[in-house]
Amino acid sequence: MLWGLLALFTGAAVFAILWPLARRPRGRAEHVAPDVAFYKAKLEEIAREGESGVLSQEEAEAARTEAARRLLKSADAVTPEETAKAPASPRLRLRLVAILGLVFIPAVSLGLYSVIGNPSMPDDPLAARLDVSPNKMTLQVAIAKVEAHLRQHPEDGRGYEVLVPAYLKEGRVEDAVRAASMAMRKLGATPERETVYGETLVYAAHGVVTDDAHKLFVQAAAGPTPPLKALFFLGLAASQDGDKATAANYWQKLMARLPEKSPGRAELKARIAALENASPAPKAAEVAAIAGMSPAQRQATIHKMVDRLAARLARNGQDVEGWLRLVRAYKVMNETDKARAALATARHDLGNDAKAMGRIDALARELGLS
Amino acid sequence: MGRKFLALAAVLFFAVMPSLAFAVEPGEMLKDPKLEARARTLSQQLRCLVCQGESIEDSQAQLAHDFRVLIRQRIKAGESNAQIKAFLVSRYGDFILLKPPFKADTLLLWGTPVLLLVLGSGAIIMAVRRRRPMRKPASLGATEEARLAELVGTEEG
Amino acid sequence: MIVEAGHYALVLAFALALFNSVIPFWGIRAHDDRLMATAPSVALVQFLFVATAFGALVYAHVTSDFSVLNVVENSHSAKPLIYKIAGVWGNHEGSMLLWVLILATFSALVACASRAMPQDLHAAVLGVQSWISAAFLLFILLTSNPFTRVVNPPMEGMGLNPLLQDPGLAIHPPLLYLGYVGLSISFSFAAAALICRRIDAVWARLVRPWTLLAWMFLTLGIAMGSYWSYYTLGWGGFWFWDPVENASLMPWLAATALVHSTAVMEKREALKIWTIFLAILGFSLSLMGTFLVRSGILTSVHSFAVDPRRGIFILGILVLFIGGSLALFAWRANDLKQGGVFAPVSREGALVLNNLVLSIACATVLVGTLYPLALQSLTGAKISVGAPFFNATFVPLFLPLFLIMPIGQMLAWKRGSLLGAVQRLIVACLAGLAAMLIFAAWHGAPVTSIVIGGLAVFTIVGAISDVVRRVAIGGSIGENFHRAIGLPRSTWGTAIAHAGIGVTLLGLAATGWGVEKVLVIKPGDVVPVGPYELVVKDFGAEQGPNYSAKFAHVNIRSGGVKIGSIDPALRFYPVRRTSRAEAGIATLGLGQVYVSITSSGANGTYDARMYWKPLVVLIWFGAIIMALGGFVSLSDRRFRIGAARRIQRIVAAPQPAE
Repeated sequence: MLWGLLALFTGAAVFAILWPLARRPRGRAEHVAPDVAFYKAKLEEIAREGESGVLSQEEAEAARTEAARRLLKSADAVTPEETAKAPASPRLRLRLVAILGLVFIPAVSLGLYSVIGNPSMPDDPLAARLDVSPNKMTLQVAIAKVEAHLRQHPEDGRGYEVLVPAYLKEGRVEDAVRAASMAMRKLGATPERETVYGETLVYAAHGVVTDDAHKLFVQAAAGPTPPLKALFFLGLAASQDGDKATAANYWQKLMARLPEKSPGRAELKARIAALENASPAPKAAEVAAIAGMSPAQRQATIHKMVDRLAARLARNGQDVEGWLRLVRAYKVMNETDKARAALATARHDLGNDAKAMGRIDALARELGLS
Repeated sequence: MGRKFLALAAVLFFAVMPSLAFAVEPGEMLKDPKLEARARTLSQQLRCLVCQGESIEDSQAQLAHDFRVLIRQRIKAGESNAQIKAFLVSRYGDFILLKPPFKADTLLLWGTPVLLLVLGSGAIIMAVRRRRPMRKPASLGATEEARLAELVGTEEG
Repeated sequence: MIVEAGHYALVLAFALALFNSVIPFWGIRAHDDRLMATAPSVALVQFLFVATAFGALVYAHVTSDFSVLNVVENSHSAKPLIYKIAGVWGNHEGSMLLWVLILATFSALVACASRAMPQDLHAAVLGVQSWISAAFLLFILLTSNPFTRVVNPPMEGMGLNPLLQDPGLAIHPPLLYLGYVGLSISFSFAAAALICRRIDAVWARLVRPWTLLAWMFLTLGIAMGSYWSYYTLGWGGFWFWDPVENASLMPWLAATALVHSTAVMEKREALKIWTIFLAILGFSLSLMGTFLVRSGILTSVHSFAVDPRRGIFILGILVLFIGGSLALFAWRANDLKQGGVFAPVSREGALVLNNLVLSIACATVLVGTLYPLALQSLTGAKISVGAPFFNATFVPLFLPLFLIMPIGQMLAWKRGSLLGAVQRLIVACLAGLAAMLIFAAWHGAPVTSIVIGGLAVFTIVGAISDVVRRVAIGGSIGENFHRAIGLPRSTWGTAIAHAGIGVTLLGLAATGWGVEKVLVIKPGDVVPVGPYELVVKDFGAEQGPNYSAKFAHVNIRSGGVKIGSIDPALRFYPVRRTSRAEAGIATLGLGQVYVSITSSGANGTYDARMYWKPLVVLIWFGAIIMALGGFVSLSDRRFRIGAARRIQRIVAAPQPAE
């Protein structure tokens, strides 16, 4: 089918070459016809303008003489003998060009296409891909189907709710944020939905509990039995703020409600323990101080912060987030060479982690460093 | 590391991901309209260093905001426009001036329009001087008129 | 199958372009009509194949075929259909394909005009067009192939950037491309004229409609882009002297000069060398614009290709075509005989002056755009060339044109009388002076606005005076009307286009009378802005499909009476964590009230900027009038192929026996 079509195309292309070669050419007189026509039209125009008074009589006369001379010159370019007959093309030349067309066109197009084309790949429009039996359905197809359904019925809040965990599984964090917010809006806010929404926001912020997310968790935890996850994230928020006591408090509460056999207990324990050893985070005052500095001072402070980060990564390179931040920082500071160097080191250090490498590569592309 | 990063990021990325604040903000403006007008004119001539060719007057970047505030402080302190520009150039180089100063480096930049104007006018004047005397073309001869009638005749006849 | 067929069609178009790059020239050399005749036939079929390829890509985008990389990267199944289609050229690969499609379309149009053109010139023009096609098709196929496939197609695309879903972005690039690529025809005509040694008035008439067409599209494209930035950027700026804008302004200046110099060449066979040079220059600047934008060398806001391979490829094309055509020019320029002579004070003389000014203005923009790049690569010194530079150089260079324009229109060809022209412009002069007085009394300072406003009125009235003096030479109203109808369309076109640029200038002058208020607003505030009072009613919030918005509801009052309302908004896109202001714009008469809100302050207030921009609409309206003038000129009977054909049929008919 495809090959038939390609053959048809090639045939049409070759025909476009052969057809004019086979036709009787125009006569020689036609070669000068456009010139003659031009000066004739010009004479007409001059006459018209002379009559209507746009040109004065003297101007019109001078213009007419000029145009008439040119008309005669172009008309005389063809001798009367030449006028009638069309010059014949030598047969050999015609054959040569015809063969060239027959061979060259298919050779170039098929040759190039065989290198860069994918003749074995069919079209794959989305609608057809969604049209599969449920037992063969992958998560991706399922998501796409729900999305299509929601486009038809945008009021169906349950659809959004279903999508959130699916999106997260697929790593589509931004879509998860959107779906969670839609679910909350369509179905109304409950502690659970607020928690889910907040959770997606945290993922979208690469693990940072942003103020928006924090507000949601606080609301969710306002009731008598706050969702477990809300407690966890409230603790995380406090720990990120450097407020160890509050963090420990939330996590202890959470620990109390976790069932004995829950696998999360061990991790939570480790986190509580880690709180004790964490280094102090910058205080709000410190952030404000930086914002209030003069550009030059700020520049210096930022340099110091970046240098600290670089030093830490030099000691331990197994930190994707750190590398991403460092590269970005260098780029913002216009130190492209350093950014490139950092990318190279990061690739070296993280060589075994395919996912991390993917993110590094994505960043490199984004910043135009690849 | 979470919020610590946020602090760093906030500072680092003000340049690229600003809170939305175009151009001059109400809080920055000077009370005296004359001084404020001076500040606006100055701002239009200075490049926001982290943006793509925008002036600090138009830019939303935090850095541009800082510069706007800086300019106003210096205006209030009684400095002249030239002094403020000189101060900024001494710190950030000519790059900060959207209208580059006239010096050896920029000779061609400023000179090209003038040079072309001189050369072009010169060429035109030369052409006018050397121009062949303009004659009225001789009227068509009888043979020419006959040929012409023959060629054009089809339409008129 | 459709995708791969489109891919193959593109490859086939390349093969045909290669063929057409050589054989027609062989035909010209050997005086072989049949070989020359292959040029239009191949050009037509080549167009069909490029159109097929483009259609296939559109199909892939519309059906969300995520097995095509270009669709994955730039489309999304949830996009409205119109943006799925516009998304085809909203990215590098697709936009290059559109570029080539427009090129092929123009070639096909030229191919259809075969009867009106001398055959050798016709074949050569198509041959040169094929060089350009071949180069860009190869560029697409090797570095920017839109038909690259994905083995494991994802279920969704990545192209749902809400900021790019804007009608302005859907229309602006195709319009500009029509202009850029339209200039390729002028270029091909110039190269063909040099090759065939056919540099005469006939050539000028043949090339003129194409140049006009390209010029119209460029005019509209630039105006469209300018309006787009005006309403999206949130503070009403419409021209930034950004390198990408300059890249479109330079071809426009060259095309404007070319339109005028071909007029001289057509009428008087003068300015031949210069016209050919301009035709080469115009397209070279278009190519350079493409290079600057596509290579990302400027990393300006507009550029989205950051692949050095592509940059180098386009640079190669640039060097090849500009260098090649200039070499051809140098080689053949000596052939050119001097054409008709004219007195310095004449229509021709004024047009020469116009060309001088336009080309120097163009050179100024070129130097200003490239100088920082060149200086940095040569000495490492970084400088900025921005709006203040261009205001200090370009503007004073360009303004005198508005004085020359009406005077030139009033001068006769060959030898005119300056005194006579000025006498005919007495009404325009008075109108200009009266306008200055009115502006001074009405708005007052700044003086530049008053002077430029007066100049603009002079230009507009002067342009119209030209028509009036040709029509109103006595007689009844009916006779005058007939004369007006009978006036050559090109005269009408000139008058309309000149009036159009006058209208734009008036709009620009009026920016000086704009009123700006930067302030903190809260509900209940009444802010006098220009002749209106803006009443801040209340603030609200709304949820969009992918953003949340805060907006201010602002009523516009005139003399205590409400005459309109606007809702400037501040949108926040949580997924991308970006904010964007949606300005509230109300058009009142020819001016606009323009309000945007920015960050929210304490106690429920907002920072806001409020503007009254009198006559601002004229800036873009003038551009539309200019394009209209081009269109009217284009409809002149001289350019109509049909007319040429009719005459030609008469010539070809056997002469009656004598």
